Amino acid sequence: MATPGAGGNLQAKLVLLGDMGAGKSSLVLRFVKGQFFDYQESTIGAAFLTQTVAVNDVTVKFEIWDTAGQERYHSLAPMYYRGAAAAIVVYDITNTESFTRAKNWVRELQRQGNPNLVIALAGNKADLASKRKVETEEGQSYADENGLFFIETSAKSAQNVNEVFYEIARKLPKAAPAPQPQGLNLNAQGRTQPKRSCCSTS
Amino acid sequence: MAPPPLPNESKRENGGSSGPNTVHPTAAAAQAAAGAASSAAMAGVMLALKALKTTAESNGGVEQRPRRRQGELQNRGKNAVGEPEGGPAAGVKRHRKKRNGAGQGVRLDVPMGGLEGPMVSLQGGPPGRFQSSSKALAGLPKGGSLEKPKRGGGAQGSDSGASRREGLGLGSIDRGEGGAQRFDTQRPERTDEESGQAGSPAERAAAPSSAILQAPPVAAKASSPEIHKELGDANVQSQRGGQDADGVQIEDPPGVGEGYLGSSGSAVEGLSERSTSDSSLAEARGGCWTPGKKHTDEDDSSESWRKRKRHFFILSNAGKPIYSRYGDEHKLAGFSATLQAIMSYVENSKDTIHSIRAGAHKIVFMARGPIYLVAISATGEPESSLLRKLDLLYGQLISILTDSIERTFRRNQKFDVHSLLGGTEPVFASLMHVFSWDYAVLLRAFTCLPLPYAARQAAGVALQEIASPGLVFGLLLAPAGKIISLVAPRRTPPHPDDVLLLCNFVGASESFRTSESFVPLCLYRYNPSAFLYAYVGYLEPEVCLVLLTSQQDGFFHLKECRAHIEQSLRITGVFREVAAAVTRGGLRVEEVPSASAAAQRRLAAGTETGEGIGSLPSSRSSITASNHTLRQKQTASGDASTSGRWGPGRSRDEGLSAGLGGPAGIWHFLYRHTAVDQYLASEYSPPLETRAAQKRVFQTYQRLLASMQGDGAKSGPHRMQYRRDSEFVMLAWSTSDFDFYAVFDPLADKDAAIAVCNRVCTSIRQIEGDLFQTGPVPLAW
Repeated sequence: MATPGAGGNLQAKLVLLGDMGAGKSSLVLRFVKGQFFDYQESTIGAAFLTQTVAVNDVTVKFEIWDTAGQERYHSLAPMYYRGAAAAIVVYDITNTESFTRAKNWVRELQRQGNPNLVIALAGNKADLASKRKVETEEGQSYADENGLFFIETSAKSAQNVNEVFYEIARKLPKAAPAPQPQGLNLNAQGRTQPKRSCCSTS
Repeated sequence: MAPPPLPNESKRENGGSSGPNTVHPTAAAAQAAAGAASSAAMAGVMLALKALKTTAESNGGVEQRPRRRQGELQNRGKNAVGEPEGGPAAGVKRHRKKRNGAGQGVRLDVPMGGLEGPMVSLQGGPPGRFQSSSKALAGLPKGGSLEKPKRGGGAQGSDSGASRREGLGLGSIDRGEGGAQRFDTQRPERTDEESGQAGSPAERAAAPSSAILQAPPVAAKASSPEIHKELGDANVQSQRGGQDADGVQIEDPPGVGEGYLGSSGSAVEGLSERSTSDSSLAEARGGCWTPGKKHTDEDDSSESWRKRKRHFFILSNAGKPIYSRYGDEHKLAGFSATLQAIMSYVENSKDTIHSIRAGAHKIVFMARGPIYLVAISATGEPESSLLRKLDLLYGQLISILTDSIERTFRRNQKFDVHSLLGGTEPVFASLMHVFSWDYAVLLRAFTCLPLPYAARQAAGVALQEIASPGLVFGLLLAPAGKIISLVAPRRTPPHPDDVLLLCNFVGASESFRTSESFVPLCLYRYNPSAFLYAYVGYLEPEVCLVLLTSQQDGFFHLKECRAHIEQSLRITGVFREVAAAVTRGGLRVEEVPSASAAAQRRLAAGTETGEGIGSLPSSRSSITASNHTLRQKQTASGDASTSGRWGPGRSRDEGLSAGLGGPAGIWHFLYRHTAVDQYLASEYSPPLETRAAQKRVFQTYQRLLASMQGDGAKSGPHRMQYRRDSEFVMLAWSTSDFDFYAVFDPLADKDAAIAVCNRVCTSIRQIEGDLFQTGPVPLAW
């Protein structure tokens, strides 16, 4: 939950979710440290990082939980997205399975998260356009249906990485004060897809 | 403390030869014979496995065999003594009994591997391997050819010799009283020609000769250790042995201790082979461990995969592969199924399989509920050490998944665990590295970064300050799994295995370096059923903080704790000390105090301590806080060389050529402090600067330890051993306070070696505050 701090500062818990190898850690490291490694080791458990951004006249301090994408950590995910103000669901545009996983994450967030949760859908590895398996339109239309903020990113080339976080930061102050119809919509959307059973994704 | 009379010794050697370990000469022969054809040996294993699988699967005529076994079983149970194999097999029985509860004494001889030949059963005439082996021992002239014991006295007797001529592969399953089974398969491919190879002069020279001293238990007067007394009288014998080793003619050393002597020659051989065929490993490693799994493109059909010296597998009892050291698990499904078939075949007869020997390869099985673990090794290492490694491997699996995985398996046998292990390849790869290089595996202890006492105390205090209800462990970790400080609740001291696996887990995962992490982790000795949560953060590039809590939401609290700890460590200068200690490294054998220096020091102790440099306090009591502060200052002020604290007198004045180890030719040593479950290993220094040499030392210790712990030897654990082979002189000494192991130049003089060991032990005890985490302040919450 985004909590207002002293002097117009905002503290926001942000969680990254997505399939393993989608590039969550790369995205965060690019954003927080400006680094990129071709071989990024699998995250174990969850990594915690912070980064402060200034949007308009508000400073937002992100407390970022970069979760591990492995299946065995799935049951721990609620621990990280509970009480989060924002979530970035990441998939790999060269991997359709990761897109399916991303949709499952979105569904899980909608079912269990709070209605004010800002969700961004990030199609990562945009630099590998030649190996693309998930079209931009596909991601965009899914995001539109579910009221998500969609963007394609590349941690490698740094394309749109900061934009994701800045856009979230911009949305946060609006989300925090009043639950707008937007939030209700999210919930309603979630209920329109009832057949998925809880947790188990594949 | 009378020294053991010589007759005892020979008796012991004979006794050992009739033990279950006489198979070892075979191993040696096989290893030697295998030579470059080790892949063929692997093929033999697989052939054998397949043969067994077919046996297990087909229901027709094969079913006779178990029934026959039953008959034999009863027979044997009634008059085991009268039976020809009763005598020798008794060793097996006793040996097995230790492992398992009551079972039935069964010897099963199953033709294996010889699919193409007629089935030959050895059961009428006992394989006589023990017999012939002792015959070989008795009849073998000193320095005689090793062919006979290696071939005939090895796994099979003259009966099998005949069948060998027929080109048959024979396997025998010994089922001991304890319900344990041992398969002995003889590779069909092996011919007499190869055995001739085994007896080649080179091999003979490589085979060890040694004197085993079984001294009466040493009184726990460790403060003034004197090995000398106990070893004195055995001097003659071992000297002779040493000369033999140096010359060409040597005594055949039939199995004394589990595979120790018998396989020593094979180890030598194996090593020379390793340096060629298995050098790819060393190359890949490039002197240090590289993360990630290697050779994932291989499977059981690839030649390179078969040539690998040591395989580890985890599979489910449904035969699904969970982990394989080499190759892609999915491609190894067939091989896993074979392993599973072997295990369940034996399980179906209400029994447990322990090991199979196939040529140079030893296959060791372990079942942990629905999880099966298998090691296949051609390195000649003792079975006990393979079992230890399998146990740790299981522990690592549990540390990632908890034992709830067993429940999952009970619910759904076909469950695919492999998918749950995503991203843990580096953890297992690093564990494999640990298996080959880390003495913690052998010694069941952890090791501390040598650090001034005061610095370690300060670190301990910093960790203690953060006591909170859920905390289970606080750990400050230096590179290479060395511990700066470890704090745990008084009632639940950490198990060394848990520390080892935790250090491996943390050290292997590079991702911890980039940010603070919060990780579910299970300590399988502590509680295998539940996850703990580990806060992992690097305070400095070389200092990693691990805090374990039982509280799932404890992250932010621990994050605060980290800030406190970091601040406190910075104020007390611990980071600086750690950095210095890491550069400085551990104790070095060159700096072992020389005899004259030790004497001088003793004289000057009273006056010189104040000066600091090179002054070891003469007694434990004089190690005071002020002394340590002095030493600390001294190190901080630039004199950071270890010599300041360890070994003021250089070995040089004992007239050894430079660069060849320490005084009296000491090359390396291990010291295990029993009370605190910690060990200390000296740094590798010339002539042990190559990886190959270091590996050899590790494997030597591995066998030395196994033989000390009475693995397979009838006489149980030993207190002391002095051995000599063509490569090393080895000395092992176990007291109630500490265990000490050392390797020396093969030409080392025994008296001098023993004197050096005494000095080393004395010196270590004098500065143990710096080397181990001990001290007046109990480091506990």
